[in-house]
Amino acid sequence: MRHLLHYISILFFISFQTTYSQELDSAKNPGKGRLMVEPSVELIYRNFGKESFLRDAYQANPGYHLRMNARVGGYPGIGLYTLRQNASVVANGFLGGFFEDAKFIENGVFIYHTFYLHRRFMVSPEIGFGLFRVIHGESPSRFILNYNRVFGGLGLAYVLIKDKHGVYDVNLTLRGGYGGLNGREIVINQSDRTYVRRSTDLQTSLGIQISFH
Amino acid sequence: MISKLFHVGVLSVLFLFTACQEFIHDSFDTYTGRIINESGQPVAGVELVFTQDLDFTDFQNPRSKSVIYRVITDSSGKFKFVLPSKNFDNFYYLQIKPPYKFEVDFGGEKDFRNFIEAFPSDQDPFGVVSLGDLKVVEK
Repeated sequence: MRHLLHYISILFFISFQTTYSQELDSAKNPGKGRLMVEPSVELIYRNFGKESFLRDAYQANPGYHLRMNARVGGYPGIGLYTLRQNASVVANGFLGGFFEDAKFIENGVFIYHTFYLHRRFMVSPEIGFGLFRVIHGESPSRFILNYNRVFGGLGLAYVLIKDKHGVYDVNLTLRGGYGGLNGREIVINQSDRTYVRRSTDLQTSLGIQISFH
Repeated sequence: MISKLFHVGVLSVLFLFTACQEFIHDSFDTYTGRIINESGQPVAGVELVFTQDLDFTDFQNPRSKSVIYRVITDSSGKFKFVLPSKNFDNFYYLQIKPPYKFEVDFGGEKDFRNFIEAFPSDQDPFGVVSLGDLKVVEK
């Protein structure tokens, strides 16, 4: 009986290994050479780096992130994104108390590459560039600050639903990114220049992606 | 002809739209200065109010109706206010709290007031308006 259990364990282990390795082989690049279009919507949270105007002057609420990725299976892809976030203006020595709220709007482009760790699990490093705008008030009393943002990040995706016809997958995505912001066009006195113009940010987002292929 | 008129119309609307904007995007004005006494020494701990609205009902002692910033001068008597730049030809008031008053030259004569005007048109390319040394007396 003891030997039988040993045999069964060994057989189970071997069969699992074989199945898993086959699965990995087929999963390395599923859809290789096929065009994939992957829109996603994500809930985003952003934290600005310490010692910066953007961190001290605003209390940002969670926002949303719309992305449109496109790639040919097995090759790096390109994506466009837009991001919207509302923020409360915190008492500060720069905005004169003229505004209570602000909107963060960012649009940009990025390149990424998706690696399959498992048939259902992918990781996608990415780098990109965006135009980040802080919009205070409404026209004609609107005041806008413009920043460039360069960022890098890592996205994890888990396939929740696989279409039986192989037309689309529905993925759960978790993404983290780190960026540097530079508002080089902002005119301000020299002693406050770096504080107002420069910042870093850390973004995390959770969402749903549909991968059409 | 119609095309030209259309272009002129569009440009006019754009010009009006831009001209009507209250704030200048990506731009901050900075007002700096130093409070000194009659002997030219810096005065620390003076309370200053930066405002756009003064109530001149009491002409000798106008009061601020709203406050943009309220600051205390530092150990070297210096102060600084930063705020978004505005398009219109506006100006601000710098009000000083008792027991001090500004000593100003009014037509060659000394005058003592609890406020002075600060004009953004006097700014340098970085938006800095230097109000210089402001002499105050205890009144």
